[in-house]
Amino acid sequence: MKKTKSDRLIYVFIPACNEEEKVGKVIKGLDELKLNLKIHMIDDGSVDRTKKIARKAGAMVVEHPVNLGQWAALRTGFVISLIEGADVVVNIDADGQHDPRDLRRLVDPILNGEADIVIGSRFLDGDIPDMPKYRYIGIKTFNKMMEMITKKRLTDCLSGYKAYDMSMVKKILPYMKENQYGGLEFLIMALRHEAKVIEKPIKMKPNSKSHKGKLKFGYNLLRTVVKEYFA
Amino acid sequence: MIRGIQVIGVLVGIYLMLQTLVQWKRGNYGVRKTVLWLSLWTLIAILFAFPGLTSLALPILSMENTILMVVVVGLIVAYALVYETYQQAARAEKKLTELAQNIAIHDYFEKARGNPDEKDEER
Repeated sequence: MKKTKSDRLIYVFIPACNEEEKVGKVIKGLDELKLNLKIHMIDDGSVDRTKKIARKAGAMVVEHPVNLGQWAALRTGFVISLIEGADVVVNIDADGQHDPRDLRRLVDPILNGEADIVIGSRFLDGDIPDMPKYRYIGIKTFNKMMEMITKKRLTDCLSGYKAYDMSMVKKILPYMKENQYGGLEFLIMALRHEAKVIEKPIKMKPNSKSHKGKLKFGYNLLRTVVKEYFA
Repeated sequence: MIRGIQVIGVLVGIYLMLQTLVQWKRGNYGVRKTVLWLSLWTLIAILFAFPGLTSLALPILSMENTILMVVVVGLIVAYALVYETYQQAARAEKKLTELAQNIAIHDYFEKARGNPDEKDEER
């Protein structure tokens, strides 16, 4: 029997490493949406009170014994979602940069069958978010590279706020090779499988603690894209 | 006349051969790896014992200087070893990631079934 829109299981995954200050607020913000969400915090090797705070705020906690990176955390989330039969998975950062109120905007197109992947774009409404210039240039460069490879124009392919239809995840996940920097690999593979990928505007708060945009992160993303280009 | 450096080179070569055999005995190396390393250390020991042999390779490699040849060949071997080490590290990292993810998923479902172990204690 086909599930109705309200029956569909929405899993939210919050990868977190030492985010005791912000993670509670993010979970509470999601809770206040009054949607039928299953909120999971993937603890990626935290040594502070992140787990305790997340449990207290009402999230289910999945614990990586060591730090594996954000994509690995989401991959763990995907596996759990597949086993538990989730219909939609949403990934949101734990550092409070993303507004939980934007979640509905990402999920609705999937529930309505209009998209397989919805990217929360920081650039779609024309504003340039408060971020270091090198990171902005890096994002623009990866958008261009993605366009060259997939012929799909995106404004924010590196956004950490995305929603996925699980039927697409089920198709792609077994073929993925990248364990730690798989966000772009997933997107390229999905577009090659003719997934409907759309973007919706989101608001983003600046975070000086973010590791994204660091040289190693950029190098590994580039490696993944180049590998996929020749795949 | 045998020079000191030759003696050191041969002794180091023999030591590394013995180390390789120990690793094989302990089951850390397979036959292929053991043969590869033994061949390399044997060759090094022989070349230290009979340095004149290196001149035989000069025309084959189209080089004129023995020292330069040894340095260039050594660098090539070193690059190959660095690459092999990088590959091994990448494989180990991938396995570690998969293992850690499997542990996390296993623990999650154990807890969901109501079997919290001592890991559940909050820090």
